[in-house]
Amino acid sequence: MEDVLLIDDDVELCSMLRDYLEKYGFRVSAVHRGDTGLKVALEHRYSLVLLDVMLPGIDGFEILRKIRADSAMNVLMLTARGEDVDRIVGLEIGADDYLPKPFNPRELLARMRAILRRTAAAGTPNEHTLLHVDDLELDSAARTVLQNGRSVELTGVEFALLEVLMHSPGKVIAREELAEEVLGRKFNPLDRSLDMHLSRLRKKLAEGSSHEDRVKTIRGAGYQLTIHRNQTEAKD
Amino acid sequence: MRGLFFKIFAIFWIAQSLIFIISTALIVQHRFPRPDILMDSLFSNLRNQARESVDAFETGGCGSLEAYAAIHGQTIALTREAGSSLCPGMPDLAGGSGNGTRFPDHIIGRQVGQQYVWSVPFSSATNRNYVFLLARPHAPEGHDPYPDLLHFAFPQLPVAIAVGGATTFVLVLLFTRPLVKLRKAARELAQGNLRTRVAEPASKSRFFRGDEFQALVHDFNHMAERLESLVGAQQLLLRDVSHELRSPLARLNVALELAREDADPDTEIETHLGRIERETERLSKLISQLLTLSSMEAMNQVNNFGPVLLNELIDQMTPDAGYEAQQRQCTVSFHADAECAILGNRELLYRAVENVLRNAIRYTEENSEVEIRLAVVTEEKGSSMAVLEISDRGPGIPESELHSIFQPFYRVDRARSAETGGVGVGLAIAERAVKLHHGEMRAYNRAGGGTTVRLQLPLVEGDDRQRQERKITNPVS
Repeated sequence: MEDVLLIDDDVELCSMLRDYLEKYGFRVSAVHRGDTGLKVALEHRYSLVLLDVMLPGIDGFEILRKIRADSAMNVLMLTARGEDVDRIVGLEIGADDYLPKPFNPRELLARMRAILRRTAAAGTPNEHTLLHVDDLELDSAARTVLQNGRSVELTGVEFALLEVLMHSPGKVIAREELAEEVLGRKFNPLDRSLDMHLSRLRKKLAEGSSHEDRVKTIRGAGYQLTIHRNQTEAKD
Repeated sequence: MRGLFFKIFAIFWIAQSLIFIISTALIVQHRFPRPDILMDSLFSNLRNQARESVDAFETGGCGSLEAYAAIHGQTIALTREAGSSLCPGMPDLAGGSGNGTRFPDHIIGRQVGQQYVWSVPFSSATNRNYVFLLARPHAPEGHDPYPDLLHFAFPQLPVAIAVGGATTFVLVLLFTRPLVKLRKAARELAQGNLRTRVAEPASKSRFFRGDEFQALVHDFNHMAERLESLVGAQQLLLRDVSHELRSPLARLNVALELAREDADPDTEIETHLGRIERETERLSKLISQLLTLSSMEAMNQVNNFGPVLLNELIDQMTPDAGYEAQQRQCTVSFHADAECAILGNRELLYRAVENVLRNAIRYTEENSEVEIRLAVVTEEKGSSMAVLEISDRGPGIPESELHSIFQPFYRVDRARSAETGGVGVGLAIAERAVKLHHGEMRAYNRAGGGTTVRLQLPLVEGDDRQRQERKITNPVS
């Protein structure tokens, strides 16, 4: 049973979604106001938060910002369709994924499962691996990333992205491959979420390092984790 | 607008100059004595002198005639009909030519040597015929009427024409300047920039306030305002309705899914639910497209500008498009004559091209080919444009409706809409996206059947492109 928090002001939609998701083994708690939603989200540990943008009290972006301030909890934003700004802002703040409303519930289920699979895969003990690339150290079992010995807070997607990149450092990984492995769906050229997650990852890695760009965009091909064989040389 | 300016200017200037010339001529004619009037007074004067000198001669002979001449200080002579001077002491003004000539029946003036001599025939009271001769140093003036006009008008004429030109210039400027402004504004309004207004002068000068042009400008602005608010209200309504429809649609989706879970898959209900789902999906698609369109209508410029390589963009969509075309036994081909990099929002451009391409695949006949062509065209102004043509072998569009197909919900053939499955907003979105990139979108009918949709987008100039490429290698996103 996975605990899911649904924050949406549409009471009827919440009750139907609860019915639907409970059939698939989720325990759903629904909150209809932004401020109470934030309180509930911070008090309990949920595997996943489904967050609407338009909410009474405080809006979804603000809630996401406050959640991200102290946890890497999985968050899926339910954004308004047709408003590109919404989903870009959501991803920038650090949502794991987004789904435009009105959505097909099967699609919602698939995305939720993809997010949870990422978290679960990392948690399985027999896949316990430690990855080292230059100053980065990733522990897939403990779900921690250390940079020069300092811990870096990453969300689920960012962690999964870095893990894939660190498995083959220096190799260019196609966007399609990354999308399927990390987001759990086919790459869509209109979907900017991969770029968004990568740029957040980049920013976080740049904070603790003198290297300009750990993750390079190779135009038309994909992404690459750069290696600096000689640390002192790179630090000039 | 040059045309109108020069037309009015030329006509007014010519008219003014003509009016000046004609009125001057008339005034000159009326105010100044004509030559015959001048001659009349000269002739009566001459006759008077002739009578007086004949009187003097008849009463006192040559002596008193000479005295008369001395008093008046004139060179005169008196002859009989055609003879030499009656008084030998007086000059022989008749000269050689005078001798032997017959008695003149009217006053004659002729040049003799340095002098001009008038011969005046005169019959005295005693019925004797004399010829009175008077010598003058110059020929009489006023022979020619034109010197008078020229003398009178000549210095003023260029001044008048110049002043006329200057005032006409100002007048025409007063006419055409507001017209030029209005025309510019009207054109911009027609191009869809509903915020266009004509600047109303601060009207500090009382002279220009309240003239008809001012009123026209005011009315134009009023019209534009009304147009803007109407169109704005319509867009807002469309947007609000679409927004409001989303929540019930989201609920419907979940309810439908719940119903499907509970339904027995072997019964009729499953098919009905499938049908409901298809319609719901269509409704969602329509609403999402409407929302896209209305958000684009509200946009004045594109956000997230970046370099977009059209070749790459199309390469990305051809596999999917090809798959879609296969369902209808069609193919999609792509020929690129050049690499076309443009500056824009990748997502909007992708959507624009995809919508046009999807539309082409939807309408092309079975077993036909949808062609995509990409080329660079240099315009007269020197700017280069990327030209993307997507051609199908569909039923074509009546010439009169070619302009309308980019309107939302416009359908050439209403009966086909259900069959083809489009919602009728795709091309409107594409056109809006192209416009936001300062491009142009047009549709043509092809020879041999079918339609070509042509998207024209401004290319990135060489310098820009290099700058952009530098940006890519150092992404900030």
